[in-house]
Amino acid sequence: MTAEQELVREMLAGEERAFNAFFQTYFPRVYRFALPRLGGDVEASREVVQATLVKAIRNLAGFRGDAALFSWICQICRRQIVDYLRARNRYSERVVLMEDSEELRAALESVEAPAEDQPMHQYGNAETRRLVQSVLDRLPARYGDVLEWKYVEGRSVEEIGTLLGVGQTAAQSLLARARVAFREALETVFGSTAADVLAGMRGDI
Amino acid sequence: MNQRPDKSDPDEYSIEQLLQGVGKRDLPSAEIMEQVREAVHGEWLELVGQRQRRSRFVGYAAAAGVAAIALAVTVSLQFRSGAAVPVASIARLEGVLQVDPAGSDDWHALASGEHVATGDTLRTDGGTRAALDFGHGISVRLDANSLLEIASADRIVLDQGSVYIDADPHVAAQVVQTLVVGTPYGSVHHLGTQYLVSTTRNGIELSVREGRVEITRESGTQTAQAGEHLSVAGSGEITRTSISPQDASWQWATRIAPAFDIDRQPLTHFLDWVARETGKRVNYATPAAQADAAKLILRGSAGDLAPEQALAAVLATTSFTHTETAAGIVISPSKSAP
Repeated sequence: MTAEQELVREMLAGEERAFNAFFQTYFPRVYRFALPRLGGDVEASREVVQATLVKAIRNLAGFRGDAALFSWICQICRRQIVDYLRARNRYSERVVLMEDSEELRAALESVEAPAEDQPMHQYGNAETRRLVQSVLDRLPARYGDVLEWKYVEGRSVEEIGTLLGVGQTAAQSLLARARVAFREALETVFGSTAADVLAGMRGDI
Repeated sequence: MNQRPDKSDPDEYSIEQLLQGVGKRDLPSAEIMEQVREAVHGEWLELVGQRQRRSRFVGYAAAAGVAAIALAVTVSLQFRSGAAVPVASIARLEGVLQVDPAGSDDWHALASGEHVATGDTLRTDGGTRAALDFGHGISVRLDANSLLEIASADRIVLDQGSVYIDADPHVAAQVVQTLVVGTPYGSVHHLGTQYLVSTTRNGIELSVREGRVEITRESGTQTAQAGEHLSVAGSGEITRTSISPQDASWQWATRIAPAFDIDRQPLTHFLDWVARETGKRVNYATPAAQADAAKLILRGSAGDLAPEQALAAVLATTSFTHTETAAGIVISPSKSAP
């Protein structure tokens, strides 16, 4: 049983701790998924994300673990976005992001199990930023949070351990695994290393 | 201790540089997070409660002998496999009602008279309204631009739009009527009533035409009486105002009311139906007129006419006439009557 299947099992058994972990892990990610697809409309995103998570909870027993839990929730979110816009006759306002393209979507969804084929594109700065953030959201466990705490917020390993409720050694190990996963995900999505992606953003290549 | 990576580890250093260049991911505001959490947590508690009730049911059944075991296994398998169970039929339809069976994302149109089952999601567009018959005197009417899930025989979930519930009090005297309307902002259940629930951008609107209803949320239970309108905000704030049973907001539900089968019914029963559907009180000009109306048995059909049209059509075939006043509808013997 994977960690995600275990989380779902605990939620179905009524464990409050599991619900909290689910909400803390997936709410911000799904919100970030919905917001750009709804043209940055905060209120619409709140409504859609709420409907998405409510629906995910209702169908939780049907989650089989064939796809990553986040991918499964994103699938629900896509339908909620379409229903939301259609109900308000705003379907023409639907925003199709670059990462909604079949190729990139497959790459992002395979971040947890990197694929062998690697799309290689040149992206603009804004697109690259959003894609890297999408990659962080797609990383398993709390890898994305750990990397952000360490390298963006400058938190110490000790602080990260405290945030996750684990010891310093476990936090250090988690950080190392997060770096490996992030490197592999960048390879899958961009077909290049962190240094190359950075150079692309700076216009060095 | 905060050790920053240096250029001696180029791999880690480039990750740091990239992530700093990309910046911190957006976070929704604490207010939004709290609103969403309350709704999702409420749904989760509901789910866990349902599962625990099912487990208990299966457990009790298993202890009740061989016959009961067979039944329990059937029911249990039904729950586990999520098999769709027909729970309502389409009593009246205007426009194109679409159904997505059991989250299959296979939307197709339903026709009047067809059944809807557990797990179905129903969708109406701007030109569609539908009335569903849940049996036991419960009519559920779905307004335009609405999305409704059939969770079980006694629970529906309004994702967006409006739904009107009419639980016939004549039937309630004979059977237990249970139907809970779940919304992202709380669950509503009736205590013998007519009421309307609508979703808004950040909450729900609840209007009670007859009887009373309870809305249950994580923060507690609120009761609304006939003539009350509640605006329930996602933040938890509740505003109460009054609403007339003849308010314009009820009109769509009256228009889509299932037809009343008048054949072999006393005129008074038909007039009671008109009164409930229109929110107008029916008065009789004299006690004798009321007694005569009770003795008059109707034959035939009023077809699919809406209540007020049906009233005019039916009375035209009798020795009664009606006038509308501010107080309601007055039924009198027609002048040509003997």
